[in-house]
Amino acid sequence: MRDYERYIRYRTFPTPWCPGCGDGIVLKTIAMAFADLKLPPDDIIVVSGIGCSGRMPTFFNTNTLHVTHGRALTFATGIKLARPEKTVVVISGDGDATAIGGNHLIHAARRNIGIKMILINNGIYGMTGGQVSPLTPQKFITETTPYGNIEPKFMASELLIAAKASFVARETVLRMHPLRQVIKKSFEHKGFSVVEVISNCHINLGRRNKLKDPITMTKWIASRSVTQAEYDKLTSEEKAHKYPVGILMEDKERLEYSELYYKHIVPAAKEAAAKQSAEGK
Amino acid sequence: MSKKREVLQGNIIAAKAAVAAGCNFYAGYPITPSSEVAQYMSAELPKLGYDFIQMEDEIASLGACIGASLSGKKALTATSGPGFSLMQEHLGMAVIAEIPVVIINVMRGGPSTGLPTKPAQADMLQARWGTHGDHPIIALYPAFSDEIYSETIRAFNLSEKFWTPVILMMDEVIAKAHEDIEIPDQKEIAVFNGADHPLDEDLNIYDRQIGEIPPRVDFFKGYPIHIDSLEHDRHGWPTTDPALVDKMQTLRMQKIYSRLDEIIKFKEYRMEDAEIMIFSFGVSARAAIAAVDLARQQGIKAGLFQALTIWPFPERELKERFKRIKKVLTVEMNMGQMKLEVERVATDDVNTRALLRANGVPFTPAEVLQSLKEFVK
Amino acid sequence: MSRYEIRYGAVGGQGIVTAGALLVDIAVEKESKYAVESPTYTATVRGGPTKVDIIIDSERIIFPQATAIDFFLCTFQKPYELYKNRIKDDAIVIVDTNLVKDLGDTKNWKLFKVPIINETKKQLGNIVLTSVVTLAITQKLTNIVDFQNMIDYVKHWAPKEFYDLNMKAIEVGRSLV
Repeated sequence: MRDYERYIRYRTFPTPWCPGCGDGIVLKTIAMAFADLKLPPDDIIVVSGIGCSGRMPTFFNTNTLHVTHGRALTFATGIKLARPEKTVVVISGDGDATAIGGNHLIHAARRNIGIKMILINNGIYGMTGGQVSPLTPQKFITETTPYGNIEPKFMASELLIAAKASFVARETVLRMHPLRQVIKKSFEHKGFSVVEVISNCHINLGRRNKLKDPITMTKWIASRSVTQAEYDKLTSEEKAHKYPVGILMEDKERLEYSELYYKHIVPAAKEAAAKQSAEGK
Repeated sequence: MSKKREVLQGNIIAAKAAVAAGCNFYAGYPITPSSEVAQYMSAELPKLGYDFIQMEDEIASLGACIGASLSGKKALTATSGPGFSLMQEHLGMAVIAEIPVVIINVMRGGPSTGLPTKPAQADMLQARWGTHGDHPIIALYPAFSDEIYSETIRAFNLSEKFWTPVILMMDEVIAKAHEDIEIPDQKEIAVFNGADHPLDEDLNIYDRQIGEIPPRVDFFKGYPIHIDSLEHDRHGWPTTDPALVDKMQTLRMQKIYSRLDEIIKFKEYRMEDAEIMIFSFGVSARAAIAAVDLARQQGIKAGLFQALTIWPFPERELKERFKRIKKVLTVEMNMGQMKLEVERVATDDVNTRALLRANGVPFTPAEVLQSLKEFVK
Repeated sequence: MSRYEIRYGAVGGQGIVTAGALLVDIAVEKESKYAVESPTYTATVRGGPTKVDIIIDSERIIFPQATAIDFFLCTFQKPYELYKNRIKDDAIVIVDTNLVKDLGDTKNWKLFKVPIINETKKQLGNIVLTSVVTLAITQKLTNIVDFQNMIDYVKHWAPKEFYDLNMKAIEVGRSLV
C-alpha cells in the first residue's frame, strides 16, 4: 500500500466519473497532499455539495460529509468554528461554488475562515447532462445554450481575490506535480484557501465544442494556461482566452476567523461578564 | 418565599433556556421578530467560550448549525417566516441525515415578506410539510413565559434523544412580550445528552432496530465516518436500492411515531365537564382560556385543549376526547391550517368549527366567546 | 387588585417601550405582581406608529394584550387614531397638547392635555427622558405601582452619571399632571 492509499476509501468504489475525467486526478492528488502532510485521517473532514465533484468525499477514508447543492461551505463553517484544530476541506465544482453557492463562497473568503477549498472548474454542469455554468466560456454550445453562451464567465480565482481570500491558486489537471505542491501549500495555510483546478469535461462540454476526447480537451486547457508573468504581458484581448496559473495570492499575516474569535471575542466577552458580575447586574 | 420573579422578553427566555439546555453553538441571520435571540447569544455564548456566528443567510445559518452539531455541539438558530422558508432545504438535510438541531420560528404574517412584523400562526403546516419528501418532524409551541422556557429545554432534549431537528414555534405576541417569569435553577433542569455511538471499523452508524433510538454519531471520534444528504444505507453510503430505502424511511418514521408518549404534550383547561372544546395554541390559546371563563359565567360548558406539541399531531388524545365531546372549535391566526388536522381526526358525530383570521390582529377573549356562543346556538 | 390595562401610543423613538418596561419591572420585582408588556411594532425604525400594552394584575395574566383599557397615554396624532380603540368609557386619557389635536369623541374619559414632548425637551434637554416622564405621569395618576418603589427602581436602573437627570424627569412628569 502506498502512503496516499491510506486516505482512499476503496470500499465505496467505483467512482461515478466518466473515463478520462479530471476528477480522478484531483482525488489522487488531494490524497497525496494528505499523505505528504501526514495528517491523521480522523483529523480531516472533507465536505462537498452536489455535482460530479460532489461525489468525491465518499472516496476519502477521512470524515466526509456530502450535502445540499452549493452549501458545502456553510456546513464547513460550522465544523471549523466548532473544531478549529481540524483540517476542513471543501470540494466544489464550478456550478456548485459560483452559481448556487456564490454567496457562501464570497462570504467564506471574506471571513477568512480556515477552510481549504478545492474548486474544480470544468466549465459545465456535468452531472445534470451539460448545462451552461457561470464559468462556461462565451460562445460555447451547451444543453441550455444551443445557440451559444452569451454570458461572460467569472474568473473564479480573481473573484476570490477581490472577496479577500487570503490564499488563491490556480492549476490544471495536466500539471499533477505542481497541483500536488499547491494543494499541500493551501492545506498548510491557516486562513481561507482556494485552489481552482481547471479540469476537462470532454463528455458534456467538449463533445459539443470540438473538444470531444480527453487529449484534445486537455491540450486546449494547456494552451490557455500561462504563468502570471506571461499573463501580465498580454493585451486585454489576448487575456480573454488565457488564465494565469500558480499561486495568485498568499497573505500569511491575516488571522484566521476561528482564531480571531477565540483570541478576541471570547476574552472580550469574559471580561464583560466579570465586569457585570462585579457591578451586580 | 418563592424564588425571584423577573420580567423578560419571550425571545430572551427562549435564548436563556437554550443555554440552560446545553446549547453551545448559534448561527443565524437577523430577522424581526426573532433577532433578540441572536443578539442575546452573540453576547452570552462567548462568555462561556462557545460559538456564535452571523451567517450570510438562513440557508447558511442552518447549514452551519448542522455542521457544528455533527462536530459535537448543541446548535440553535432562530428566524421568522421568510427565513424559515429558506431553511426548509436544510431542515430536510437534518431529517435525512438524522442530525439534532433546534430551530426557533417566530411567526409573523405572510405569505412572502408579508406583514413585518405583525403576529401570525400561519407556518403551522409549513413546519410539518415545508421541506420536500416524506419525513417526520417534531414541532413545539409554547404560549406562556414559563412554557417558552420549558418547551425550549424540551426541544433540545427531544432533538438530542431522537436525533432529529425540532422546531420551536412562537408567534410575534409571545416572543416580543415582556412577561414575568421565575427562571428555574440549573439544578432543576433535566438535560438530555445522547450517548456516543459505539463505533467499530464496520461503521454501522445508522444500523438499529425499528423504533430504537439512535445513539449519537459525531465526526472526529476515532473512526472516520460518512454523512450524506442522499438516501443512504446503514453505513451512510448513498443508495437507491428500494429495500434499503424502505428500511431507512421506516427507521426514521418509527423512531418518532413509535414513541409518541415521549413527545406529545398538551394542557387542558376546565375540560372535566366540558361540552364544547376549543383546540388552540400560542397566543390564541391565551385568548381561549379567558374565553372559557367568560363562557362558563354565561352557562356555556366550554374547555380548552392547548397543544404544546403541534407535530406529531396529538391525534390519539383528541380522538379520546371526541368520544365524549361532540363540539370542537379550532382557534388559530391563519386561514385554516390545524383545523384540517382536527377535522381529519374528528369522528362523523363531532361538529367542527373554526375561528380564523390572518390580518395581524390576535383574537381577543370576547371574540372567542362570541364564536362559542354562535356555536352552541 | 384586579387586571389593570395601560396603553401607550407614540411614534418610534418617543420612549414608550422603555416606559412600559420600567413599569412592569417595578410591578414584578418590587411588588411581586404579575405583569406583561406587549409592544406592537411596524418596522424597527424611528418614526413609525408604535403601541405598548401593559397589563398588571395580582394574578397570572392570561391574555397578554389590552382589551378594556383603563389608562391611555398618547403623544402623536396618527397612533392616537390607530390605537384609541378598546378604551373604557371612564378611562384616564392623556394626550400631548401639541401633537394630538384632533380628539374626536372623548366619551366620559378623564382627559388630560399635557405638553409632554415640549416640556421634556425644554426642562430636561433630551427627548430620551420622555420615557421616565411618561412613567412618572402614569404612576401619579394611577398609583399602579408605589411612588417610592418607582424611585428606588429608577435609581438602580439609571447609570450613575444620569441619576440626577432621571430624578428630575420624575419631578417634571409629576408636575405636568
